[in-house]
Amino acid sequence: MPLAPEYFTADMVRALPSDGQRHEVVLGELLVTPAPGWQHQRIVGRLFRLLAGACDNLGTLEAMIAPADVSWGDDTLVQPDVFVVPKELAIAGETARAPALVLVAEVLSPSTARQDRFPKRALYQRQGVTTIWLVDPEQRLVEVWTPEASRPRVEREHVVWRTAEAGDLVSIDLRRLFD
Amino acid sequence: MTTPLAPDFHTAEMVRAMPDDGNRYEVVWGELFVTPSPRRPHQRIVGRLLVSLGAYCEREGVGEPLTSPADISWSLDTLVQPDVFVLAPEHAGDEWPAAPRLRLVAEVLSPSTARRDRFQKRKLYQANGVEVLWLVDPDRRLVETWTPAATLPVVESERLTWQPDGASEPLVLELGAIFG
Repeated sequence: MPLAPEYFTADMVRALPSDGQRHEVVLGELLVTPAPGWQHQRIVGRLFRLLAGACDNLGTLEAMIAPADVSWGDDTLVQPDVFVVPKELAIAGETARAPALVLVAEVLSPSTARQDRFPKRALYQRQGVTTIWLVDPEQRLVEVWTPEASRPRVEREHVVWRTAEAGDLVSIDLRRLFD
Repeated sequence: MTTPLAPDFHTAEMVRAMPDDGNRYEVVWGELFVTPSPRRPHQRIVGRLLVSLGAYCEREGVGEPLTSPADISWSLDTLVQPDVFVLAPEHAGDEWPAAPRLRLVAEVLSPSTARRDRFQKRKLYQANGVEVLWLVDPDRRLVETWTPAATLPVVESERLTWQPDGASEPLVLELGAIFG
């Protein structure tokens, strides 16, 4: 049975040459992204510092930053911009099967907005990522998604990260995040 | 509506309100897809599939085969118009059923729709329990068949066989006759 060449697997993506582009596969769909711009990376850096600080205070969670592979199966391998996992999962690393992500933040850019908003967001929901932030520097807002949502909540002033166990962990001032 | 909608995010209601301008409007988990009128070879294949399915479904009583335009929606962020589909027999009546059970969907690929058919719409059909999905590729003269739990398609290049629960015998479609 020939495999349709339109479909990619996690192993096919792992075997691609390192050419400066980010290669991901979401339920068989290959997503290729050029190296991010400075503004994207400034916001990624700020988010990571804020989330890592909150995780350090808590002690049980750890913030991670791209490129770091996350795979939930043979047909999926993604590299979220910033994500938070339980500490034991961070230590186990990318070999963990079916990793449970506590939070994912994707910083949108014109070339990635569509894939972040639709295929990757739907994937994160399906995998039960507790909190999904789509950070839109152009519109200066954050779309907040939860696993069951069929529409996002849009935040333009502050975005608060809270967990059921620990309550409010950090409140991010979006004006300062985007300036 | 109190919640402001996010940029680029569409709902089934927004799609129903689109002007009737000859384009096909669909929304899959909030993502809008606009498709111009199909070309004649595409519709030729749609017609052949409907004729074969029509005779079979009537004989076997396994559902009602239809073509789009249609209003197939499982949630407020989703409304699609499959090329050919079979509504389960419990959906009698003259209205489009809410959250329908589809026994079969066939999408005839074209260069402008292949990606959304293979990925966004295919995943939607799998997530909503469409029993069998055929992605019909006229360029390569083959059909990818998907079932709800599959992570890769089964590729058929000779014939398609479909026997839904309740049918006494399978429908066999020779692809040579479908592609002409």
